[in-house]
Amino acid sequence: MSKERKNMYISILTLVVIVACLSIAYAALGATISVKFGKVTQKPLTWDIGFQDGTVAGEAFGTSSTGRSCGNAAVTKDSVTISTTTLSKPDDRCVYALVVENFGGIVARLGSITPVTPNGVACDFSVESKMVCGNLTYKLAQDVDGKIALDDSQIVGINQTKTVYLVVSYTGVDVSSVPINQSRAGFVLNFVHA
Amino acid sequence: MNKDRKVMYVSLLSLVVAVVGVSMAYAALSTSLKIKFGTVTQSSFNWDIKLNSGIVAGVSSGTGTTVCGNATVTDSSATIDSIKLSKPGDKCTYPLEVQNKGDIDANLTSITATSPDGVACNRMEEGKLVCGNVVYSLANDSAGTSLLTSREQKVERINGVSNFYLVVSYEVLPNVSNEEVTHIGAGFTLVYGQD
Repeated sequence: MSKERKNMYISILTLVVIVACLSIAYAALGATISVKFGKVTQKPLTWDIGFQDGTVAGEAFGTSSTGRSCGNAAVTKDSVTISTTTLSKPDDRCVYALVVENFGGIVARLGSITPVTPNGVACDFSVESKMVCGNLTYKLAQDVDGKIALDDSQIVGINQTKTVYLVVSYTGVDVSSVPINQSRAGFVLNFVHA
Repeated sequence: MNKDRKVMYVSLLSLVVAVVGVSMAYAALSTSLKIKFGTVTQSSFNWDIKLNSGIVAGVSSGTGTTVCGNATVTDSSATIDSIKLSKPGDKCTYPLEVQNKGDIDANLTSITATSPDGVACNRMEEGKLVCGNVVYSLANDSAGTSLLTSREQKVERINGVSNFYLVVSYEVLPNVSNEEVTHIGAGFTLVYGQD
């Protein structure tokens, strides 16, 4: 073999060895990290919305120093019952803060409000959340003053609460020499899937 | 020899002598400086990428019924115990740390997701696996909003660290399952290489 060819073969061999070593060195530069989950359980969605139960005291407003009393509200998850309430003159009112809570996993929306008139009393309905029955007005509102009516755009998110104010007020201008009783007035709130 | 030729020969000789003289003088104006190394050693590099091992407690958020099993972390793996998600918004988050104890900067080169056994999942983004209402994510933040991306998680050499979060969450998606769903075997494989 000629000297030149011998040198060429040695050079090529050397080059091959060098490249192989570089490849081996590069291939070693890697690290693998594995993340593995055990059992993951997803519970089914539940529909569960209602009042926070308990006893809610009525908050009294007005100028009467006597003759006005706000009965307590007994609240269960799906009903509110207010005991006897007395209003004696215009501007007297009783306000009850009722908390609706979404206990479930689905966002809820107030779908409709249905007023229930007192027994044997004719009432006017300008909006579904307000009922004017003679000198008394029954209202569902978003604020304690009763100025912002509750409407069917109300959303209650998952694990969220919404406070609804039940307001009964003496809005008439007439006064009476005898008591006027109204019984079983109320509202039905229907919540639906948002 | 005639006079002209004699002069020419003398001139040539003089020229040669002059050139030689200059060469010799030039040769005398050179000094060789020698530099010689003693032993030069190239140390072998050290490549060492690993997780910060130990037991990592899952951080639960959402409802009070969320159950986040612990993560058992070794140098090269993290295994998570059972998780229970009750409502949309429930989430378990695991903070993990990658350490570079070697001499070479490293970077995340690929992320491979493994779907739970028998479950069809969507993988629209590299560090996120959507399996029905359960979403598995690798993220730069605990909220799981900034997903981990290959080539964007450098871990500097010599004690550099990089943190990331493993997040499992119950999401509300257009198709909601009203049945209990169980996943087994979901996971991710992260490969780190030279940066």
